Amino acid sequence: MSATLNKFTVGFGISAAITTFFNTLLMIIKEEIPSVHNFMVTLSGHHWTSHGLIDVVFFLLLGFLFSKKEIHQNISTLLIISTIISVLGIILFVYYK
Amino acid sequence: MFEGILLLLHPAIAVITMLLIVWLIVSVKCQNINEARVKKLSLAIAFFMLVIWVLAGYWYVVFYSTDKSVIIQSSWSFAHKFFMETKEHIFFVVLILSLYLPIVAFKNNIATNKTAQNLIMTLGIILLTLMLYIDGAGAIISHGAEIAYMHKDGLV
Repeated sequence: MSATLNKFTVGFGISAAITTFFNTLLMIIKEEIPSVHNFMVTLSGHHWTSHGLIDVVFFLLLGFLFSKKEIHQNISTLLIISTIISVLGIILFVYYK
Repeated sequence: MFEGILLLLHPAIAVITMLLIVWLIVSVKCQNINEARVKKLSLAIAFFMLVIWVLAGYWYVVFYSTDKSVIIQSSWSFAHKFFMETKEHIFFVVLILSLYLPIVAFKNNIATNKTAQNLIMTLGIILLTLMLYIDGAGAIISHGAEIAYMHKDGLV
């Protein structure tokens, strides 16, 4: 019974964790800095569409980057922690805005 | 008519996707794991999530601004200010994690790799939890819009 994950699984898992943080950070930056918000509107016509496209591209780029090396990481724990922190970040930012 | 169909279609597909996620979780908990089924389910979940992104995104970008202006002037302004604002950004976490699912399913031997099985289960549970929040938030926004329009039209 194997217990190690393929390097793409680890690479894209780390990328998914970082992208969830990045998603929260991008939301805060675009809400706080109007020029960033306006730039995202000009990219695709709507800030939300640009936000999603940037997240997906960021996830894919980081995923391929991290997949180049053999990294040992507990991806399940990493994703649970990153999801909790980034979702709480979204909720708290929106609540206190 | 088109606006209404679009509005109802995206949560309907979301519910189907949630059922597929439950099926996926059950599939990796089975004694004899059907690897082909796990692969197909993970692909279907990622595909449906992309479809939801396009449908919900189109409705949000094209039609929602009218509802938004009515909601934020009503007593249910929190339906937009809190629930829509959180929902629209938490969705991207769901999208990224669902796009990651097929990578886990296709790049590992799911039938024998216990770590990959646990990772799929973890992803499934995270996705289900966040999607339930998103669906609930959608229901609150919908009810908020209903109340806001009733106020606007002087019905309450």
